[in-house]
Amino acid sequence: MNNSKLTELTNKFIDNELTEREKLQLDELLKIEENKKYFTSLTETVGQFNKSKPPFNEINLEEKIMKKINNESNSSFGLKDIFSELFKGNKLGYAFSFAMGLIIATSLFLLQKENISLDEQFIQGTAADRSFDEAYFLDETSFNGSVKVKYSEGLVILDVDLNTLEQLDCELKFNKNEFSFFGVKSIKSESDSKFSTSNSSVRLTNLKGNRYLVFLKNLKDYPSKVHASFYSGNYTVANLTIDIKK
Amino acid sequence: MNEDNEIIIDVLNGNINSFRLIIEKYQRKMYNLAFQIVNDKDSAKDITQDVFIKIFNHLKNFNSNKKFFSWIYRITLNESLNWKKKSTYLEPIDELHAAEYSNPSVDYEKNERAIQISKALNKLDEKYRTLLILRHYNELSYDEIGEILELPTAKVKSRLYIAREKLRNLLGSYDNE
Repeated sequence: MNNSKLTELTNKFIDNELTEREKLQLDELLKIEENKKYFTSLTETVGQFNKSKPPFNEINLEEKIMKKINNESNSSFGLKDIFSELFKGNKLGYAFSFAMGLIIATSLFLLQKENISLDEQFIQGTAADRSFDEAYFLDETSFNGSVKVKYSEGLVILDVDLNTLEQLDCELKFNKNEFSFFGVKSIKSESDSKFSTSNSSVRLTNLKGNRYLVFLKNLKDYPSKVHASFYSGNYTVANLTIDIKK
Repeated sequence: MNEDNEIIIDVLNGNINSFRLIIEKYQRKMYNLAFQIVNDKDSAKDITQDVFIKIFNHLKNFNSNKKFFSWIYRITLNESLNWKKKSTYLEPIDELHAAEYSNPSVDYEKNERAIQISKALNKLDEKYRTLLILRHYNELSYDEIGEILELPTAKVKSRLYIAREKLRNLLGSYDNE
């Protein structure tokens, strides 16, 4: 008896993969009683195993999973993702992460410092901001504030700082082929602030003083624009075009 | 571009809601695969949820040159096997778990055989058990199994032949008891 041949042909029979020639070979081998016993035993085992398959269970976890994902997306913001990305990898990666951490910490410290003098800068009409690549200042009847732009490792960071006495919605609109929403971090919140996102916009709802860092992933490496619209109720109170230069 | 990749790009572009389509398409297959490995409905549910969240969080790492289904099958498989290793408090398949497999409407002998098969399956080495489950319970082709397990098709085949043989021997030993 050729054991390995019999094993191969029996398994091919189970998988329905026998050629005509192999069928004849198997028939020949099965003329021997011992081979036939083996063949019957293996095919029956597999047949019984197939029948033992647990019944297919229907399940619907869609809502539960989406709820968890939405909660995580809303609470983890972008910084967590940035750091998990940065801390992945080799020694060089860690060194790079440390350097980036130092830069971010210094930037945040400077931002915090500059925040105090924001109104003064604004009153004086200063358009330049040394810690950011671009800065835009807004002085409307119903609100004032600024939008500053920073670039970091394929990310565009928009620092949105708004002071308003009435509810103000700020919508940042972008081309979904050029940017994707990466996260938002609330830096200052004097009242309940909310945000919502779609594949091409981020909407921030404010009252009193609020400051956010909005992270957009730069999908294309060429200059583009983000449009900011400010709404009070149903009225557009200001529009701003933000140049993204990198 | 295939449908899965289109959905993934949409999700990566910020349309989180599109991920529903992925869940809708794969949740039953993943849940049933997890259940076949861990033999516990609640744990299979937890594993399925965790896997989807893991997939969502790592979607940007997915290699679009590979098949999405094999990626999520591999993650589900690994999560289920890890869960099984960790849950030392659960005994290998016993009559209680086997009741999940067996159909109360069929006769005693058939249920008894289902229990024996479950016991034998749990006695097998993980690599053989996995192959039998993927091939016979999930009805995947050798190529598909190869993609999931990152093994050459010929290796999948030869290993499955051994797995069947081992199962036969184990069941034979029950018959002789």
